[in-house]
Amino acid sequence: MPDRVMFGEDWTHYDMLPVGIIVIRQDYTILSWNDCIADWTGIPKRSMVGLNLRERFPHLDKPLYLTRIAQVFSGGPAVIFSSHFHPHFIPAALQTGELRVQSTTVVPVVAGDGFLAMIVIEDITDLSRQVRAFREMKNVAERELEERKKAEEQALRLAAIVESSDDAIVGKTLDGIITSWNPGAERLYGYAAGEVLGKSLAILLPPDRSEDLPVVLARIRNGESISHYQTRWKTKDGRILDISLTVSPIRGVEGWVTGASSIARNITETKRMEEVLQQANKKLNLLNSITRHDILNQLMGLRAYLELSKECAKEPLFIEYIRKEEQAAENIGKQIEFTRSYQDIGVKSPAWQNLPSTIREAIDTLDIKQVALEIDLPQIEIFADPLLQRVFYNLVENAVRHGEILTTIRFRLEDKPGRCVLICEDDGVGVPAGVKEQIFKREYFDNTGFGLYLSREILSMTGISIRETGKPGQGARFEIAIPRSAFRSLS
Amino acid sequence: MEPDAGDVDAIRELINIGVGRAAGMLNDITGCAITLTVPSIQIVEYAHFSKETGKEKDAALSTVSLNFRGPVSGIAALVFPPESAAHLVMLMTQENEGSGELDAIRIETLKEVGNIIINAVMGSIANILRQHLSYSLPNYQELGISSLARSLHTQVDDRVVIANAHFRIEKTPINGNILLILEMGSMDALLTSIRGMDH
Repeated sequence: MPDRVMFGEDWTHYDMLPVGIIVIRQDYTILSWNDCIADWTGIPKRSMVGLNLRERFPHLDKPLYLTRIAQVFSGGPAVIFSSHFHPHFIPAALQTGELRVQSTTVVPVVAGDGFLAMIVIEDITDLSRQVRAFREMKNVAERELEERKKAEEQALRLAAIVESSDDAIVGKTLDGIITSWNPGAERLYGYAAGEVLGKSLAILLPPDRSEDLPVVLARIRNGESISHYQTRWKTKDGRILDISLTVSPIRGVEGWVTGASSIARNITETKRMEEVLQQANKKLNLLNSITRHDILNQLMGLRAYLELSKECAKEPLFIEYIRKEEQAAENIGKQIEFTRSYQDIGVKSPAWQNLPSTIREAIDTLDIKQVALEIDLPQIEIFADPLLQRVFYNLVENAVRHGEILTTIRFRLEDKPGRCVLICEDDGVGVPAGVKEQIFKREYFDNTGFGLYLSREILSMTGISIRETGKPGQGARFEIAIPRSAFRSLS
Repeated sequence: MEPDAGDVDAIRELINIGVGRAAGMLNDITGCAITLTVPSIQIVEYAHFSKETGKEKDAALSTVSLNFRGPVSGIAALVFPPESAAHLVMLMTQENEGSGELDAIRIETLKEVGNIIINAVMGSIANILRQHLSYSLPNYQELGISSLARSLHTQVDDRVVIANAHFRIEKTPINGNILLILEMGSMDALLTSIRGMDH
């Protein structure tokens, strides 16, 4: 492109050029409109020469253009209008209707004592399209690279976890062929990876567990996971281990189950300790029962003698002493009865229990026909001490006994972040504001035994809490908060 | 003729008038909040400039340049490290995605930005000279400063005006340089015009 063009009357030689060329005077009168721009715009030369460019293309009649093009008319440097900021300097459509992308340079043309402006327009539609496509491709590639890098880092982290885990982590096909075997598996089963890769997992099954593998693999094929399944597997040297097994399906890129990974934890020692603990508990319970029996026998004797003493005593002071002794004997009796209830808590392992059924079974043992019971609960199970039924028995029995104006007891469930809350509420007189916490203390009640204290103890065995939140005079309201890990839906 | 402190101050003001006008145009074109200032300039002999830039003089820089000829002749150039140039363009075009590389379309955009700034600065200088200068077409190159100067057959005692250009685009700072490499005798003509203004 020439730095500066000398003015001449004949502009036809610019018709040969593959760029759009428009020559204008300082007043924007069009002197030349070459064939190329005529072709692009569909406006013939004869229609444009002599017209005012600003009037024909009013978007150019702005200081943004006028100020810069004015520099050219005063002999200043050429002016560039890039395609990004001015993509359609002279709007010209392609056959598709899409506007051509233009890169425009305005250069001075010497004309006598002054200057004309030559507007040179290049069609860079293809270049622009290619660059943008390339950018898009590059951005996609960069994003993919970034994602791959993250995935690789994640895989390395996971691999490090698998490598360093004490648990035996084993990959297998849907036919039970071992595909990966971590150092934890080597330590647990005694086989080196090289000995088992490509072999069937059946080598780990003792004869009485030979059915485990097909059952587990069938569930995995269905996309199910298996959590904390307790079984017994065999080591290389023939020892039988108690293990807790979690098996998850491995899915391929298309989402199909292609294999399984299992995490096995040796719980042999834990099982042994559990058995020892259960034996110790049994012995303690036995000792407790015998001692309680003996104390109650002695207490019976004591009460008989106190009764006899009452008949013999004439002095009011002695009679008062005997009354106090009887009261003390009564308290000893209650405390001994409490040990009978308390000794069973935590003896048996917690278990999943159907919540609505457990509540109904508890209530069935009570004679409360005069009170309406509403159990508005979904089918869920909660993981709790086997004495759970006792908790609901206590709640309902307490409500009936202390509710006075009670007509209805209602059980319902509220879903809260991280937990669900079982609500037991009634329309009785409620719990006075000052004793909402004391009612859970062992020494609180004179006559009602230790119901709420025991209830809290039973629930706490599996992390469940209970508190009273009702408004005095409007009924009691017990909130039993069950952590996510301790409930599951059956629906 | 040696430029004194008053001359340096006057040239800095001339350049600032130019870049101020250029920033206004860039604001209008891009729709971004752009400020452009030249807080300091240095005028050095080319030999000294060449020595100062040291190894950097051959490092490829993104350069939009314009040759001018007349009573004052030389090269005016806007110079950035390539990554700063790409960052500048991406800020002005509000591209948020992808890596900052200069492709053909971004180079074309940078040429327009450089063209606006250099034309505004040369407009200020031409005004004070009150004489006509002729110009080449603006040019974009990635080359070292020594190559740029070589294209002008620079002499060791030619003068170089180095103006530090501070861009701030939507609060993001970007630094570049505006260079005026003046051929022998051109600085004298410029200083004569500047000092003539004082009277």
